[in-house]
Amino acid sequence: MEKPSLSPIEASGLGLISLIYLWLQFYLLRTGLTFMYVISFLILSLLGSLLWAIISILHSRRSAARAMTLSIGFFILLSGAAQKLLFFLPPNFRLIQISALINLAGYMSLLYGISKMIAVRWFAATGKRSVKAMLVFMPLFTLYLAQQSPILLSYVAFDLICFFLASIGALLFPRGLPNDVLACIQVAAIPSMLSDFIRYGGKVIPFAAPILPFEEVIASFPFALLAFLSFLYLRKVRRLKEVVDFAEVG
Amino acid sequence: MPVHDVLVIDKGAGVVLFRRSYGSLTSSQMNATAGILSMIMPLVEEIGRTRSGYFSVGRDFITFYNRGDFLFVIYARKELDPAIAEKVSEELAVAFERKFGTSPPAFDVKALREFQQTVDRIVLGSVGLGEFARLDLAKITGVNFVAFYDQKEDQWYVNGNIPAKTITKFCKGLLNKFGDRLRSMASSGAIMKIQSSRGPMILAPVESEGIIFLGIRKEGVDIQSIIQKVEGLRNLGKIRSVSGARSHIPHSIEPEYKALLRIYSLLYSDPEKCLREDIEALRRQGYTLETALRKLRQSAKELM
Repeated sequence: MEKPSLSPIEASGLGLISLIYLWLQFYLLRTGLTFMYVISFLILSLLGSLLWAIISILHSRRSAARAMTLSIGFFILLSGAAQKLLFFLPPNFRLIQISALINLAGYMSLLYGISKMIAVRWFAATGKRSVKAMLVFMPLFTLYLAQQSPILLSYVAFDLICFFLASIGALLFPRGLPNDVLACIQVAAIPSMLSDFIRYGGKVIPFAAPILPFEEVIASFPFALLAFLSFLYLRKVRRLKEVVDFAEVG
Repeated sequence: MPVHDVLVIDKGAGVVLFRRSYGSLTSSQMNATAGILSMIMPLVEEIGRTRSGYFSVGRDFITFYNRGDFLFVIYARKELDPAIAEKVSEELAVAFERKFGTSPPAFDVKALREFQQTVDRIVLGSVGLGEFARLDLAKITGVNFVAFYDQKEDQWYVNGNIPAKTITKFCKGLLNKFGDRLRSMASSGAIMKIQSSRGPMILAPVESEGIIFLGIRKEGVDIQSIIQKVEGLRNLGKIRSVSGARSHIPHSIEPEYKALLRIYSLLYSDPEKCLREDIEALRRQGYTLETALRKLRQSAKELM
């Protein structure tokens, strides 16, 4: 039977293919093929979010796993593809506001998915139920942060919250498919945080300006990683789903 | 041994029907315990409205499980989680009823020996060999620290005055150095005494299940007790090798357990270990085995 977790080869393959994609993005940007760069990102993100949506259908109704996979799909769509789509429109203040709002929605969706998974696992791992209220509070706290701080700095905070929640989730879940997904989110949050910080630093700290061009490419990494993960996840879940009914009845 | 004694008491007569001792109570203490428990049981049932529970006796505690005409009692050290002892007494009751029925049995030697092995399996299955070794060896006179490396689970169980991390790191070094020699000694039943940077040490393999590392004082060590305890652990190691089951699940809930295990195998890479740990976590919070399985099944379905 299919093992319910990524093998070391699959995990390293996932990292490698994401890095190759990153290198391709960097190459396109350096050679001035910005349009191609945007299109390739859009194709990957849209495909990724579509695959996560398909995966969510494979999970049972109202389950935490469905909420999480759907939330990752929304995150890639709203914080990835939608942000790049705005690239085609002429920049103005209203557009920046809309973009920020869409990005916020993406983050909140991802936080909701992770929180739901933690809430389910917390009880099994500790026997305590006290975590639910705290987790509902997290996406709302994100909203508060977005309102209070400079928008780029608040993105860093969102990434930090994603990182911490995904880390808690990865610690709570034993080795298996949910753990792999949470670990990927944990890894993805780091370059995302870095890219937002570079973007923020590039505007307020003069010596951060030279590394600003790399920010675009670093920002693509989380979406590429999550999109490529969807291919592996879909394959695993489909094979495991074939034996779910058998598992239920023996 | 963290579990000192396992007793089955005939409530009506107030006498001990069966006893499996890992070396603690004298006969008179045991009979006194049986008499007192039989006397207070109606009161516990009436006031506490409970069939099971535990109470402290100095540095030890006694758990009881009331089923039909019998009382199933575990006398254990306080280092052991009372929830685990309660689980042992509960499982003991199920195993006893399955073997001898509900009325006081007439034991024959064969049945008694078989049941003794069942009890060993249940106790070992619930407490775990590593936990046994850790708690059992630490109290011997002259022992500074204890480490037990469980080869099957690749886990360390340590106890002593030195921080656990330090002991583990130190013993890992010894394992790298002497591991092969110790493993080759496993069948001969020998023990090894070495001089290390932390003083004299005794290393002893426990079948193919694990290796004991004992840091001892230069003088005043009760070597005879150490040899006896190591022998005891080797016997338990044999039981685990044969049964291959660390976690003993009562027959009555085995179908539910297996169904949940199948669901876990779809979610996690090491389903049996995960399930065991999850059950333990809920047991520590006061859930019975049945309710813990039911709750875990709900949680697992949420992830499918």
